[in-house]
Amino acid sequence: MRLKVVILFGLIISIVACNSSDDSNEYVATPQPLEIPELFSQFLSEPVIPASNPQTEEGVALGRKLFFDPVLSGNGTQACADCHRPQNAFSDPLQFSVGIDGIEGFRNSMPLQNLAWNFQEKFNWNGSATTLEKQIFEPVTNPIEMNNTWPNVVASLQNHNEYPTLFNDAFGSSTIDSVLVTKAIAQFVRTLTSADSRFDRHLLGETILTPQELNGFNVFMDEDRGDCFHCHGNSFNPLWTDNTFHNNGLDESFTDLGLGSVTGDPRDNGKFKAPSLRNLAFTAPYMHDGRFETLEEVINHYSEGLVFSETIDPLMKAVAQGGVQLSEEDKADLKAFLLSLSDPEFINNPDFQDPNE
Amino acid sequence: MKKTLILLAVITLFSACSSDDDKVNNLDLSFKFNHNWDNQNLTFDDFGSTTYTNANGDQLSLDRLRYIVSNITFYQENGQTTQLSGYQLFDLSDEETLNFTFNANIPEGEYTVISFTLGLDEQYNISGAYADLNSVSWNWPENLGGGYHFLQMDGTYETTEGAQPFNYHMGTARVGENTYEANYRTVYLSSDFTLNQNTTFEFNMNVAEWFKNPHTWDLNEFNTELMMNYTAQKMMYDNSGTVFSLGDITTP
Ligand code: HEC
Ligand code: HEC
Repeated sequence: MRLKVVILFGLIISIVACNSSDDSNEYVATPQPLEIPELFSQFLSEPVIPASNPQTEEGVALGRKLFFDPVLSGNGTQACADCHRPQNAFSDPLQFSVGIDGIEGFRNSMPLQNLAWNFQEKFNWNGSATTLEKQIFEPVTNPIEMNNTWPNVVASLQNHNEYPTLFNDAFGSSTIDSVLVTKAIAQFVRTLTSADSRFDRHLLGETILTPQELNGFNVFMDEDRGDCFHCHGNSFNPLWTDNTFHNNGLDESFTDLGLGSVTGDPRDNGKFKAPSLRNLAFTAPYMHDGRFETLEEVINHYSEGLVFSETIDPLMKAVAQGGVQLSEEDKADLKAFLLSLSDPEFINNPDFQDPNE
Repeated sequence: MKKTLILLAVITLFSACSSDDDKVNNLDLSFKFNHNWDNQNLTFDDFGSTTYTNANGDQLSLDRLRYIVSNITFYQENGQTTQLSGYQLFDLSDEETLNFTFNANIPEGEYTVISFTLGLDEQYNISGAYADLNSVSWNWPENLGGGYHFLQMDGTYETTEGAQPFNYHMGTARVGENTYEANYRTVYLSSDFTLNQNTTFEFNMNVAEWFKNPHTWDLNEFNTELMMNYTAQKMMYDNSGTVFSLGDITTP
């Protein structure tokens, strides 16, 4: 006799959201499930979409309008999109973003891409926000960013000639509040998927990489050359990040504690989110403090610029020699490979541009 | 009325077969993996703080320890076996991964041996096959045979020039151009035990054994770039034999 043993290993989380049935007035917007790129559905876990904020056509459209609208800022001059510009893969070209009062922040703006696949849901360079919705609460009231108050935001939107109707279309209520604002923007931000770079097309068998790009990929994967893959993904992790925090040997001591400022654990000092390597062609300058203007500088950092500190990741194994000591040819090839992860279709996607123009 | 069903995380279904005529029950079994350094309890709190001395006399401290275990198998005296196919990735920085429970159709009763695979065997070690493992970049490079890491232990050891990193990573061993050895380890642990509803199995990993038996591991010689080092991979395989032991088996 053969027995079948069926086991469930790992965690099954199934969330069933039932819009309560008998209320005939219950409003339901038009579902617009996230489009999952082929490589992502093949290789990655399911995207993170909270049951309390399903993707809808009206929600995404509203979120997009809000994202590009300076109405969210204290003096009506700054939109999310000013620091997160489509042409910069939703980052900005400055070292430090500047808020409405002309005050410079202390971190480089982050690109917004594939954030529904940030499985640990730790957002910002230091992981300070634990959901996308919560992240979005923050810039609106941050004094060095949009410097507004939520009551003021809500009042401006409520008195606007279009927004009450749009909130009603998206959420079945024309009474606006901060939660609905962040939900709508989060829905839009979740649609910002990038999966159409030359390297993606190569993986899908649609294009052929140059020998230089291919050698660059080998440098990236080679344990005795770049050795970048432990933190920045590989061809089976098309996010090109492990979504976790590391100290990659930038500084001897830290003015910005990074993850340590959130966890309070000194072992986390100087650790920052390993960023995705997608769209580097559009996201300069680089690192949490935008210290490097070019990819050459970044590569030189890993090749000969590493400095030791207590919390440096042991994967920065060649720190005693200053780095992995790449040849000039390997450096150039590595750069060519990194650029093959950039996706012009992403920044030019008409669905991601300013709808208010 | 409208229903929205969202499935977060992957559901992995595993099936296994066993051949016996015992009464099979649907049982919840729990597993707990503990860690020590020669009987001194070792947890994430020790990372970056506790210094250990290995068999070679090298002083070391740990920053990261992750490993994967698969194919847990139970053996009865009459030779009948039940294999629970599937895997669990442990990460000492995440307590939740160290305990897991699952529901199995398996005969209750007396058993004599339990085994599991450290790593993934040839049948399962397929590049890119597991979304949850890809999502945490657990992959092993294709030019080293592909598939997944089996173990990743990162830390530092003391030298006359200060602390130096080591990356003790185990996976498929590259013998030469396009020739690889699977290099996973099946661990057999004997004990007479009774398996019932809610039985909990504890396993212990003695981390010191990775550096001890049979090869006294010299970190000054084998520290980084070990993934591509065939000798190091085979030494890891050899040393993995004594790393695990069986702890308490309890049924409430
Ligand atoms: C003044 C410039 C500025 C404005 C305006 C701004 N951001 Fe940001 N954004 C940043 C910076 C800088 C960071 C990195 C913050 C950090 O790590 O502390 C960031 C981080 C983020 C992240 C985290 C990304 C990740 O990968 O973790 C998201 C999401 C985000 N912003 C969305 C928004 C939205 C939505 C708005 C509008 C409500 C907005 N931002 C307005 C500058 C800005
Ligand atoms: C130990 C993990 C780790 C390894 C290995 C690693 N990186 Fe990084 N990388 C990081 C972290 C963390 C950051 C962000 C650091 C910061 O801003 O403080 C980063 C930042 C970058 C950036 C800047 C991206 C941006 O948007 O600002 C690039 C480019 C980059 N790494 C490329 C590489 C390359 C190429 C290699 C191999 C030579 C490599 N990395 C190896 C962890 C790593």
